[in-house]
Amino acid sequence: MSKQRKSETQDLGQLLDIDKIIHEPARLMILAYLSAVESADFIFLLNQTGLTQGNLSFHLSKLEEADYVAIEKKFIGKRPHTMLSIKDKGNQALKEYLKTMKGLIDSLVDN
Amino acid sequence: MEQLNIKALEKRAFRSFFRDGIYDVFLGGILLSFGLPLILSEFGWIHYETMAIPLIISIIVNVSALVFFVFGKKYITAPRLGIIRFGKTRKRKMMHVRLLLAISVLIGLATFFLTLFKILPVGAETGIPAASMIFGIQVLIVFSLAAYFMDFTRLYLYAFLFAVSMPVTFWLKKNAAFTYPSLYVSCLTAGPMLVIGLILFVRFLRQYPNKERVAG
Repeated sequence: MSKQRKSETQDLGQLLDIDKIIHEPARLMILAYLSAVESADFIFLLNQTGLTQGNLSFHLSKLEEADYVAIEKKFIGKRPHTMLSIKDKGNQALKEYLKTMKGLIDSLVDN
Repeated sequence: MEQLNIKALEKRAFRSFFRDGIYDVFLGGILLSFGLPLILSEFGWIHYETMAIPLIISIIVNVSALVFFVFGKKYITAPRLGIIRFGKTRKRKMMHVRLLLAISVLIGLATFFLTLFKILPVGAETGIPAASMIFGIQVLIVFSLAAYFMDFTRLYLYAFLFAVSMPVTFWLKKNAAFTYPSLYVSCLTAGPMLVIGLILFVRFLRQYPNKERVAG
């Protein structure tokens, strides 16, 4: 294997290390919005992301399983209300993801 | 670059709360609360001999605008747009806005009492009292800074409209042959705020159905 080919394989090998929880566009969008604010409710995310209610619930539970977001369910009067916030682990993972993707794209463009 | 995008998202999220037009109607209502007693007195329906009636009318319009703002945000906007708690930077910016508004109220009160005790010149030549000039300049500065901190672009226009409303009314009263100067000035200053606000409000109600029952 030539030196150049080996280097390219190493660069693209980073693709396998990408956080697949965040790599999904809907979850990336959710994390990006939550990282921009302290906390937000379900309706806010529904409006901002344009996802359906079911889809948003599904992706939020995936993010909760990964310990990236905190979901707080409570009642306001008789109505259920869900507040969401990004956890430190989620913030760290998002930063790491963006850094990795930027590095990958840069290396592909340079080559 | 990462920082910039997150900032842009935060800004977009914050600005989404100006889409409902409630701020516009509220500010238009406040400006109208100054103009309406003057309009009614020009029509001869009320008189300024006793300040009680103009003051009561002004307070009623002010309170109505405030009630519309508070209840509108709570019962119309929040169920449709959702609830957000913003981060430290935004909280700091909003604290600046509150501080500016408090300073503005203090300057307004000081100007009012200086006028009451006839310390400020009444502007006999131009017809523009010094108090209205002070009001105009301080509102222009305070609202423009508030617009900057709140990323609320329309507020720059409203700052200008607020600022010119009083001096122009007094100038017209003295120098122009208009029968109802306060009516014209109110239509040209409070009018655009109320019209823009109501159009945005109706559009907002159509665009965002009530999602209160969505629990997540």
